[in-house]
Amino acid sequence: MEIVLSALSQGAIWTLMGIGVYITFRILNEADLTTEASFTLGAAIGAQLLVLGMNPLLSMAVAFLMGAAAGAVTALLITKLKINSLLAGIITLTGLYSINLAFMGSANLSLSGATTLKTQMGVFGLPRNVDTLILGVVMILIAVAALSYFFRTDMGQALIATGDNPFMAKSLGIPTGEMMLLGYMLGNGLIALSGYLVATDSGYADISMGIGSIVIGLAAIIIGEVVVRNVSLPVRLLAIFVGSVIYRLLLALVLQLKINTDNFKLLSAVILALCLSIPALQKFFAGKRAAGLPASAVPATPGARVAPVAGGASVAAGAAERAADTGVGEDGSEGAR
Amino acid sequence: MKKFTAIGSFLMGCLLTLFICLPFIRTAQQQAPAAGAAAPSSQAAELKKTDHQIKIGLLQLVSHPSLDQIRQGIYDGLAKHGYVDGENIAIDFKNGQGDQTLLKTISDGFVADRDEVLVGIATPAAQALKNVAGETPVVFSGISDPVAAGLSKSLDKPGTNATGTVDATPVKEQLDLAKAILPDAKRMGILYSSSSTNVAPAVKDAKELAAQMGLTVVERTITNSNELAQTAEQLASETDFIFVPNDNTIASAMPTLIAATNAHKTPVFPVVDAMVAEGGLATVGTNQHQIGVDTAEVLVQVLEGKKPADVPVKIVTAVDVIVNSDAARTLGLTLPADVVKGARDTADAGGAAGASKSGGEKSGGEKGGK
Repeated sequence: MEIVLSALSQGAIWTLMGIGVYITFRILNEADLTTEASFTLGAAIGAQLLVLGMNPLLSMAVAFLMGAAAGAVTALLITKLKINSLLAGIITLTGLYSINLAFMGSANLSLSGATTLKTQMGVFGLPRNVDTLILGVVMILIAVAALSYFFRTDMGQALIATGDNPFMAKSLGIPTGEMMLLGYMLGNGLIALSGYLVATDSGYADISMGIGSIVIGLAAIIIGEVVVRNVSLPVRLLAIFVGSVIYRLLLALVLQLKINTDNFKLLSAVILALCLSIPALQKFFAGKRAAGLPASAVPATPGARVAPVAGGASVAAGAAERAADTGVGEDGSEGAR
Repeated sequence: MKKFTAIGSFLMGCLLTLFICLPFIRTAQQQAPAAGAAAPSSQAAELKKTDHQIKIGLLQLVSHPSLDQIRQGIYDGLAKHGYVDGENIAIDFKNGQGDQTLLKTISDGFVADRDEVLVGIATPAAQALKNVAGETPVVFSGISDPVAAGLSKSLDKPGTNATGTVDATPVKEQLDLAKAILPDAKRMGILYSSSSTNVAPAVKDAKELAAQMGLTVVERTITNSNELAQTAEQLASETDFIFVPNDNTIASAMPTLIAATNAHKTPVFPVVDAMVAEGGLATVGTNQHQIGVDTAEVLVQVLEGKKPADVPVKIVTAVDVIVNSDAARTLGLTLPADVVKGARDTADAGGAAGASKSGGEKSGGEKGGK
């Protein structure tokens, strides 16, 4: 029970990371490495402001905005200076290391004695991990509600279209550069928020805490997609929470099985690779079993289907291709999102 | 519709402003309590006469309480021998902040500055210095096994340009202490990070000694602090107490470890006093401040013209029994009277952060032990 609760609470505060990665990785179709540093950025700036005595909610807002600023740097490098998106992420990630250090003043900043959301929740006398879980779930619900609303607006649809097919989106008059900027800012803001919550939970910010964090975010997304398929966007975002918790439980299971923890990283990689390859594996086996089965029996990568509705839904070539791949009934309908 | 570029640029401006302003705000806030902390102790002997200001490059791996105490010990020890920073010596202190590539750059910088003696705190820092030092003497500190780290050929006669201090973990005393506090303990957990070579001797000793004492050993490693919470949770649930060797990663993340172990009422026996102050139960630790003071003694010999190759590595034997009565209360344990007697209690020294800083100065007088 202890372990499950620990996995739930850890999963909850890391879910925002997953949602942030989802925006760039699935919706904008970009692998954004800024993540590893914007996560630390949220923790670093949040921790320092808390130590300086700033109100926890206010410092959380600053952490979000500064994460968005980090995203903006990467996006501007891509759109204005035409730098390859992977490299742009690495450039920002490198620069942020120094900025994070400057914020913290040392490689490790302890929050002992500072008033945080967690200490404020201490008045309710909740058991350990439950306060973190509540905090995480509240933040997830706010984020999912806000994003679900946003992606229904014209602007949200334009963002989705940009990710699906930038050329088509541009031809429809969508300012794709602006949309990309928005996506990067939103994503990295959420990731910084996750870093802030993780720092609050562990009681310190550390310069190296972001290393490998993108793997945790991706694992949450992908496991979520494997577990829950063909769902609307709000549910898809909530499924990231499920994925995040399952990933934690898998790691706990690895520990329970008394597997040498030196192999932790390898196991994380194997879990991630397995989950990523499930659609392909299923396709392979289904193809062997019955070559003539209708394509709808073989779901393609579930989360990749973010088909735009307004503003040229089925014309977007990429989306149309994917829709055809997954069969009818989902093309352009609410269900696809 | 350029509004997002505008918003993004504005936010980037804010980030830059914060980057520039925050360090000032921070130092302004810390000024009051920290005043005089870095100044050498008042007990300084008379200044040694030197023909010029001797330049010393001091490189520390990362800031955390125990390494900071070693550094403070070096300053205090030098002052005791009549060398004061800014007077007859100039110490160029650089912190690697845990970035391994930075260590090399800083070391190169020291050599380029023609520093006359280089001092490295923690193994990677000392190794980085030695690799670029050439003929420049290197004094190392906060290291468990300089021979394995390739710093010196043997302890008695280093035979290289590097000498310093070793602080072998007093594992035997450690485990005896754990047994004294927890006579019924059957299962011992060992937790350390797999990237740290520093801990290998202590882990090996602990496993052998524990086997002799009839304890079952459960060994766990982490690769970085993100894994600590879960690994600690698991280990705490299946052991009676946890032994943590001198591990820099865990030292930086003590709050996480303690949160997990306290929930299972599993005591943690670290080997460093600063880690006890942050929630460990008790330790027989090498006195970190004393390591610095001893390092300063070796350093003084080098400053006064001895070749590092001939200066034996000093083995720091000063040990303290350090207990944390707050932690004992949290765990619902009573510390035996013979353990508490003569032990330093970190709970007396105020908050966790305060304890680790001021503890260093206090313990200088109480080192005793063996």
